Amino acid sequence: MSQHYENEGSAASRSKAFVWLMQRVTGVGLVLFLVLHFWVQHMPTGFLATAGEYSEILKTLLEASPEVVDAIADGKIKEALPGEHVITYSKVLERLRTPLWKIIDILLLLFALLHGMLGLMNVLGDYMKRVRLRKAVVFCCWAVTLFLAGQGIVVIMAVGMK
Amino acid sequence: MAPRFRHGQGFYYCLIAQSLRNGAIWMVFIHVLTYRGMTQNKLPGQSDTTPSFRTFLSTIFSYRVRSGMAAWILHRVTGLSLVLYLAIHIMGLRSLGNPLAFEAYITGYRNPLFKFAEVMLLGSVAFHAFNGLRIFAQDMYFRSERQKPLFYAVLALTIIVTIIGGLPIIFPYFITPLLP
Repeated sequence: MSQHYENEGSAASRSKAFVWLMQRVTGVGLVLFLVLHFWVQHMPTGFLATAGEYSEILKTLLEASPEVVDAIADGKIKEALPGEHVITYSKVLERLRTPLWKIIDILLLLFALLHGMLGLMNVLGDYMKRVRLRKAVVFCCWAVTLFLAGQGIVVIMAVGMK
Repeated sequence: MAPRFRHGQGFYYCLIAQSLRNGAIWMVFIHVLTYRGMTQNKLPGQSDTTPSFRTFLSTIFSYRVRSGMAAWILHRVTGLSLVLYLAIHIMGLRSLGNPLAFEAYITGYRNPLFKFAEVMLLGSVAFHAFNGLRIFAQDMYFRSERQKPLFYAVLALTIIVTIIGGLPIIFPYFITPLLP
């Protein structure tokens, strides 16, 4: 049983097939990356500071800069609860100093952005009939993607480069 | 000994109770507000129902949401919310240039309300991932009559992963203070 579509074999059709493939590739990649990301950033592992370690970190911050006193008094920085594990600057710095983690995080960023923005364009395209509007939205989505990718890569590369 | 209600958990429990109560009040309010358009024993979409918010709602809820449609809607909603979160996340990481700003940024996310949001984020990611894998597997290997059991497997896996991953997140905030 073969179906014939109006635009079969056209550039638009091929681009849609490519998007379909990209969503599968980046999706499966993201499952692996996100398991790792969640394990490192949200579970009580050595990549996070325990409550004791965090109060030590705050003490060293206090010695380095007196602004921290105000920040703690205002509640902008809070001590950890007993049993809590906190993402902290020094632990992230320690991890992101290794080039392997930089590569992993940049790949995660690019996979997530590509998967998310292609999916967003797919969803938005379902609700827009006018071709010019659709093209404008796709253009905006790509602009946002490039901006966020640049922002993220600059941040990841800059960590520990001082 | 550490004080037991340092972040004011009592306040947040009150907030949750209040939002439940407000939800109930809003439901009654919408019921009263939209009563005018209701006609009895009419199928939605039939011409002699007066067009109103009420008939719109009853049309929406008259669709029998079967597993495939539920999967489609949930995949869309979780996907959109994750894109939104991704953008916020990337912009927030700019504070990695300054230790003080970074600790303040993370403290913002350590608010007890955000801990619920974090668990919901995990649930969204888990559902989107498992459902995505189901779609991929179905495209490749399974016939369509397998989709219902596969969807229920997706739901079960999502719930299991959310509970296992969510417990360490909410434990220090909502469970440790209640322990003797």
